[in-house]
Amino acid sequence: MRAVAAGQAVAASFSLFSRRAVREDAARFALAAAVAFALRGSLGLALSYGSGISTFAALPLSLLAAFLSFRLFRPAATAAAAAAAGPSDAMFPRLLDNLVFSLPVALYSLLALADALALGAAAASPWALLVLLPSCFDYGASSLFAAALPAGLGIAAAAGAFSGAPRPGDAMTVALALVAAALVRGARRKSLARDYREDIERRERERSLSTMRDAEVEIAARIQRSLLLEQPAGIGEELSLEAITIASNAVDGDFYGFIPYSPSSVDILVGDVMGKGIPAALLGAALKGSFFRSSLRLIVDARGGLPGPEHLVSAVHDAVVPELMDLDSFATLQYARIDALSSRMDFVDCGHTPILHYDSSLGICWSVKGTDLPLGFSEENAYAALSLPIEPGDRLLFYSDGITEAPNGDGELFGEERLSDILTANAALEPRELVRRILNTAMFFSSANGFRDDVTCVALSIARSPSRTVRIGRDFPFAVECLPSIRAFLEQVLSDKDEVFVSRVLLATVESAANAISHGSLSVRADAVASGDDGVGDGGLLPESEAAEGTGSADGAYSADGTCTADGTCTADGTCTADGTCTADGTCTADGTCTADAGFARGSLRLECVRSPLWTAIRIIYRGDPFPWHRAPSSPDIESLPAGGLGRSLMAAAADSVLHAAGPGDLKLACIFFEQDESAAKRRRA
Amino acid sequence: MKIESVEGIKIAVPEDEHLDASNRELFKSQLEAVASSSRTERIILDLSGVRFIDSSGLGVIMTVLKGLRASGSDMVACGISKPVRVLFDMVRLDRVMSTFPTRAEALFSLLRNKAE
Repeated sequence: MRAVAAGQAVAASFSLFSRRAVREDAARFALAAAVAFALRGSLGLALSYGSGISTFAALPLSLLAAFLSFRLFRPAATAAAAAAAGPSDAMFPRLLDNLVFSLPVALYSLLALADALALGAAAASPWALLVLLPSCFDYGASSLFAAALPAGLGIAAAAGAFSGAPRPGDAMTVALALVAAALVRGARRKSLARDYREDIERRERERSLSTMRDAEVEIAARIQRSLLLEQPAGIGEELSLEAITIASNAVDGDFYGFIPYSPSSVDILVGDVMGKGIPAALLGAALKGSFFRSSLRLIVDARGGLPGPEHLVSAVHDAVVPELMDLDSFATLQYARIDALSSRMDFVDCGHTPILHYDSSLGICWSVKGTDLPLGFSEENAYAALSLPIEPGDRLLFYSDGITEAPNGDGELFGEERLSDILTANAALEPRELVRRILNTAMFFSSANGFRDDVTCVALSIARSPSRTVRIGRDFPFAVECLPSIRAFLEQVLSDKDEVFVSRVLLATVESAANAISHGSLSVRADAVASGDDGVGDGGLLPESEAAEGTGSADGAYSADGTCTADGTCTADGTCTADGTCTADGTCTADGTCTADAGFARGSLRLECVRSPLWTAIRIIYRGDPFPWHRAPSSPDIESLPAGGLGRSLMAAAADSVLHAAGPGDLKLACIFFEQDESAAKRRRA
Repeated sequence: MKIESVEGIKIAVPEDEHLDASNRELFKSQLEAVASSSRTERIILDLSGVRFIDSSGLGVIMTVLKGLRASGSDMVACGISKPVRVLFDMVRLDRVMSTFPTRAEALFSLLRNKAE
């Protein structure tokens, strides 16, 4: 009789687990139970059964065993619950959760039963039920009672409640069991119904929330496209501009803006806020607003004069950087002013991707970079504008790293080289077609993955027209011995300028050329000597030794007559050389003969002097390793001599802007810029 | 480099009209030779024939000047042409080195110091 009741109790306890689709956990549970039983059995036999200690003495041991089984089983059940939370059945994890709480109690009731069997303990029956009773009111444990109640009844039976003649205590036991059963059934049904209802409601809430959110994102994207990222209106005949941006995530962390001042001049702002989505888009909009506001304020302060890009960025820095730093965010950007009338671009680069400048005079593309840090990186407010000459027919391309970092199927990135190749090959296209071609090519390239990041592309073309600058170029051997010739050449070209101005140009140019030569690659210098030895230079490239001892140096004869360089390299078809003014009239570029590899022999250094009424620029073009041109110390410190860096800081002090750019292959450009007007120079340095 | 001597004061006169990376080594060895031969005597660097100095040339002058100062001697410059003056002003050379318009003024100043 007792054995049958115990068997029923055990079977009923387990029935829960077979019904509740946790069969995969049954094995783990069995293991946990076996461990608990073994522990309790051995301890119980040793401590109580043998020595006749009462059931109550065995209770703590039972609890320990129950606890252990709980600990053993819990990880599996919790993991199962977590796994089950993934799929849509929200009821399942809650039941599992109940189960986790139920198991120790169910186990304990089985242990109490075992005690009753072992000791024939009459005292165990009501107590066992009483132990279970409080759990009836425990919401979390309610589902347990399908299992625990039969177990309790089994205990009662085993204790003799249903055998022999009825006793007053038996009626109490049965009554308690019935009350418990009623309570449990009611509670369980209620809780199941509540669970179900809550799940339905929650799912509906979530669905409507996400619909609302999607709608809001869609509206945000539309606002951004139409109001924040406007298409540039026609600027004028001189400049033509096209901008395209593609958000990876409905709304865009890239931003751009344009301020056309006249048919021939425009300010272009392109930026990229860290991150994606609505927060990045809002920050981008705030930054753009700050630029326009600061621009307006500075214009008013200057009574109509245009603030320099560096002053504008500096004002925006004051307005936004504290907030950006608070938000642990930052933005990279380019702010560029292009003025076709004065043939120049002035820009501040705050850690953005380089500007690609298609140089129509040479038919190649330069990757132009500034030196300033992204907004939000540092509290230091010191920005410098860099300047470079632009010519009719040039193209400028601003882009975000979403293009260059778009990967193809093999994980290879699109890269800047491909971008500048497209620009060089399609330089004749108008901006509208150009940006489309770029985006199509990049999209095709990354078709396997699509764009992972926001993509922005802004192209600007300067209409073909007669050049407003005078450009005089000459090639020199790539060796320090050419420095006196460079000086002599410049003195000749700038003979109409005042002596102090010329001194500044000479100083910065000689420093820059010396730097290029000493930091240019060794292979290039070896080539310079070799080509001289072989006579490959054809007069254009003097061997190093000859330049040092002979015509090249002190007396300046090397450059005075102009013959030895003009016809050396720039000669492909002979058109460029006649008067030694390689680019002055622009003929050299129209037919593209004076281009990339044909034009620049290894081991030579081309010096170009570009003159406008308002400024003078020196361009030094050579082949070599990248020049390590982080920002020079702001003022040359004579007392730190002979430590390095003086040359670079002299260059920076003598010139109004010095920048280095990389071209195709190992072609490099140093561009040194001098304002003609002393007040303009002072304003820049202020 | 021409070297003259007046009343025990050495006057170094570079003959190149430029002191830059292209003739740095030559200028350095010549000026150091003058400095090491003069011991406690003072040196006048007469730059009246020099029309261009870059950071290399300036580096040589400063290195030699430091060496002379360390041994209790000194060097002054004279005959600064306008282009060279642009450089000297840029680095504010006057903070560390005396310059004089003419050789005579430099000599006068050094001789007076010697007498004192």
